[in-house]
Amino acid sequence: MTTIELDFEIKHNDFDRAGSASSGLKNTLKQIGYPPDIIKRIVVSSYEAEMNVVVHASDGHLRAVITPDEVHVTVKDNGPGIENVEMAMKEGYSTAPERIRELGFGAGMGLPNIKKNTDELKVESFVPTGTTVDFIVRRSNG
Amino acid sequence: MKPYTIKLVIYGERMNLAELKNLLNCPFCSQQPGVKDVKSICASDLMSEVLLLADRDSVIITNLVNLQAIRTAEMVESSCIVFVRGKTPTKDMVSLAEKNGITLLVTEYDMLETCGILYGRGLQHKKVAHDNH
Repeated sequence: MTTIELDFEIKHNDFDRAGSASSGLKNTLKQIGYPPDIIKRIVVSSYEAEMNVVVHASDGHLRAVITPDEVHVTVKDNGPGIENVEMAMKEGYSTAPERIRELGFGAGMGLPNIKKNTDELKVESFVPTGTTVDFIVRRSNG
Repeated sequence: MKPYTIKLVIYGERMNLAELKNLLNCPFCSQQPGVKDVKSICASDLMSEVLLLADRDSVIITNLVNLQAIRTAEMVESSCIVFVRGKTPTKDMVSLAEKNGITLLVTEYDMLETCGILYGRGLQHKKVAHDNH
């Protein structure tokens, strides 16, 4: 298998399409025969990151680089950025409004969930330019 | 009401989705082909908890009737969602579930009653552990 690169657009506030980028990533991983347990860790993480963009940010992109050994996902948005990344990494910390909680998200579990499912996680955020969530899941650690 | 999550696991005996449907008197059903065994249940209104705790081939029980519930089931490879308190999914939800081979059921019971019925059927409660950061 050679390297596969994917790029999906994420639309802010588009709850009908929310999750479609992670769904596309999942389908590709299934087609090339990635192990199901590893796929679950990757797409749970990408879906949380994708929902963060839909809920909190502006438009963004989910990019994935798939090699036989690992999947590297970068989810980047155009702002407004996270004021306090350290706090956002803590379970239970959330700035989500009530309408987001009614959708089943916004409980302050997004970034902590990504951390639990990935081998490497880097979150970089600048106010107001945007946030980049960058993570790697390795096949060997499944 | 603050969302909470209950996880139930089946040991020894087997139960399939058809039996689950009968047990919960489900009036609505969008059943996918094939006989799927129920291995575990994750009952929650919080999709992040489901993403964290649901096993592959699990059944999700929820009050949350929206596309995100279906997407969440897709990500964790859940085989079925049971919507409680008679909440019926929309056409878009049924179509997304069909695309992903996910059976949708609706029961008139509420979440507590649904979990109670399954507990009574022999599913065991598995304590949900949370890391404290």
